[in-house]
Amino acid sequence: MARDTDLEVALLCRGDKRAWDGFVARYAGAVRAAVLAVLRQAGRDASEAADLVQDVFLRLCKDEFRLLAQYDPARAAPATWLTLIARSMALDHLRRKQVARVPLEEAPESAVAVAPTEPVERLAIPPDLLSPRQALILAMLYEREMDPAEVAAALGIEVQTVRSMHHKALTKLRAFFGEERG
Amino acid sequence: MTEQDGPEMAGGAALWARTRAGLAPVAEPDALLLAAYAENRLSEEDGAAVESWLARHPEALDTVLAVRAASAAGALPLGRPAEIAAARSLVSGAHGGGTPRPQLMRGIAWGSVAAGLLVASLVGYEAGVATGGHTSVAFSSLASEMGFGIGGNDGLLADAMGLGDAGEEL
Repeated sequence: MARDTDLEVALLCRGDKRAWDGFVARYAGAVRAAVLAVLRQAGRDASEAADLVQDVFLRLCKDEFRLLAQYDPARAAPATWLTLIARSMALDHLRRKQVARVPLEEAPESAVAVAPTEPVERLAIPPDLLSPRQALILAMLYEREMDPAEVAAALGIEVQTVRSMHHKALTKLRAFFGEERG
Repeated sequence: MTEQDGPEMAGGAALWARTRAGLAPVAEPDALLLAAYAENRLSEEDGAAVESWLARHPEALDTVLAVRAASAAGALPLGRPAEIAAARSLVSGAHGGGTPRPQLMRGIAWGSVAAGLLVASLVGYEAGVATGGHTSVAFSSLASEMGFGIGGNDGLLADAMGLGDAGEEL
């Protein structure tokens, strides 16, 4: 794996041609891969990728390189940072396309109707009731529908640790909400 | 889900939904902080702050975890020396020389990106190939599962980074 920690932010922010040549040549692949992944996941045509890749690089230049100037090589590799930005911009692009696809006045009433919902109990959760890691594990298990092994792999911890933290978190929540273990 | 997990998780979804509704909002991390998290480079405190936000915005997990998986496997698609050299020559041809000014960067970026894209096509960069081909079994499986997918409203992240109107404003 190539180490890519030598991004010359200062030169890029001055618009140095040689620095930009190298930068684009080196990272266009990573940006394009990130954009393509999002488009494909959404079943979109890969031809949209070219414009999106351009937009990512142009975004870095916008407002006197404001976004680019925020980059700090000590904190993350450029490819990781650019991939996150590229994915976010691609997702944003898809949302705009989705919104623009059907004008509101042409949408069927059923599509814009607000379904009646049950009143949602909203009880403020004490900030220290769950640790951030416990809350994240619950979100991964119940909202992303990952299984404990996937959660463990993603977080770099043992499966048994996931199960233990999950168990402790549910125990705390049941006690907080006054529920009996069913 | 294994049989071992079933009983423990029974009712957990509803309990988590109630909990989610009552969680106080937390500050949204910027792209660099998320990138550092993806690379496991954050302190315990900063990592906890990111995880606290991710727990409240699990739709952003797909992106963070996919990038983490690829990064951990060293599979982010970087250029190969021969293609980089070719791109540099193309880029040199696209520019007239001199130091570009910020207001001229659109043209420069277009030319450079075009060169980059040509390189990408030559190399055959494809997201799945570039990332899946070099990952460990565990992480490639995860990346596949996560699909580098569109997880939902990542606009929260885009908004935080000021990326919301990228296409139109530039």
